[in-house]
Amino acid sequence: MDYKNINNLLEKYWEGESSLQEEETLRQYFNNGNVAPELEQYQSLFQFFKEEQDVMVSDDFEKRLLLQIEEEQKVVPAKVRKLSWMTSIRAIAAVGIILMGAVFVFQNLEPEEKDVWAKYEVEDEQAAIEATKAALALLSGKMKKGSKKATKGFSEMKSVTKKALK
Amino acid sequence: MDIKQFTSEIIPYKNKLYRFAYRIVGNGAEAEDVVQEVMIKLWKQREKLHEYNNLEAWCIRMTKNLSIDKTRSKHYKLGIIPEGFDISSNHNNPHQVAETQDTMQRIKNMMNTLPTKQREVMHMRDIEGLSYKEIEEQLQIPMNQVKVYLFRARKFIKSQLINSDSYGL
Repeated sequence: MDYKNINNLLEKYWEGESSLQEEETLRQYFNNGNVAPELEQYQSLFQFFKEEQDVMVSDDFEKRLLLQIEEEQKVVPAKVRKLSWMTSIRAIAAVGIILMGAVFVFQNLEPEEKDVWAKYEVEDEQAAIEATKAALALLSGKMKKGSKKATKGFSEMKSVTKKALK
Repeated sequence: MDIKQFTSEIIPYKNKLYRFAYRIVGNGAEAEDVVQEVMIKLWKQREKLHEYNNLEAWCIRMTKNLSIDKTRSKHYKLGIIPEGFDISSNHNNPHQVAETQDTMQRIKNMMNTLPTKQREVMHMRDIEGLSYKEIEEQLQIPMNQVKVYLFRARKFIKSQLINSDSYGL
């Protein structure tokens, strides 16, 4: 094809008005080697398109893919069946253990706790007054002991400061 | 769909999907991983595949989404080095081989600087040789928009070619 025709096609190409057939003609022209010097600057673009059309995945791609598909087919269904059976047994066992644990806790711990608190319960009015008095006496005794200790501390401090001032 | 049908109807898309994934991820090994992942996903959905009117368009969409996911992954953000296609050359002279690879890399770089949609449309038209209608279906872009993207992409590439020629690159 002569320069003029190619140049026309090229103009259409840049404007986005060329057909697929015309674009194929351009690719063929620029990949044939006899390119007009005025059009050489565009040659590399059409060579690039041609090169890219031939780019392919690696030779062993399909083999690897089919192997993977085969693995999927083999493993997945067997695994799923086994898992669901095992899971249900485990679930039943877990529920059983939890129920047994709950029954044990309610039967054994609750009454024991009641007994412990019942021990401290004061039912007689007089006994309650006595217990309160005893508690207050204990408290006042402790307070007395505390004030004695504090007075002793103060007097010790006084003697120390006196000594220091001498 | 059985394995025989899958091999004859789906696997033949592999190279086209690979080239498209490569256009997005910019690396051969990653692009192959994307295609493998797409194929496995399609295999898992094999019972539903007959529901799609345009299976090829569906494959392209899946490839696009997975490729974009790849570019967003941590691995990519750490900075993967884009590589060039291994362009086999018939030239015997090592100088010519290097020159051809250099020219191809230059065009590839020009294409990579295009906005994503322009790059995808140009790829589909100029490398895969698809009609506007097919591009509309596969990329889900209205036809008039396809034409606009293609026009802009070609205009940019033309200006780059003229510039590099005038600088003697």
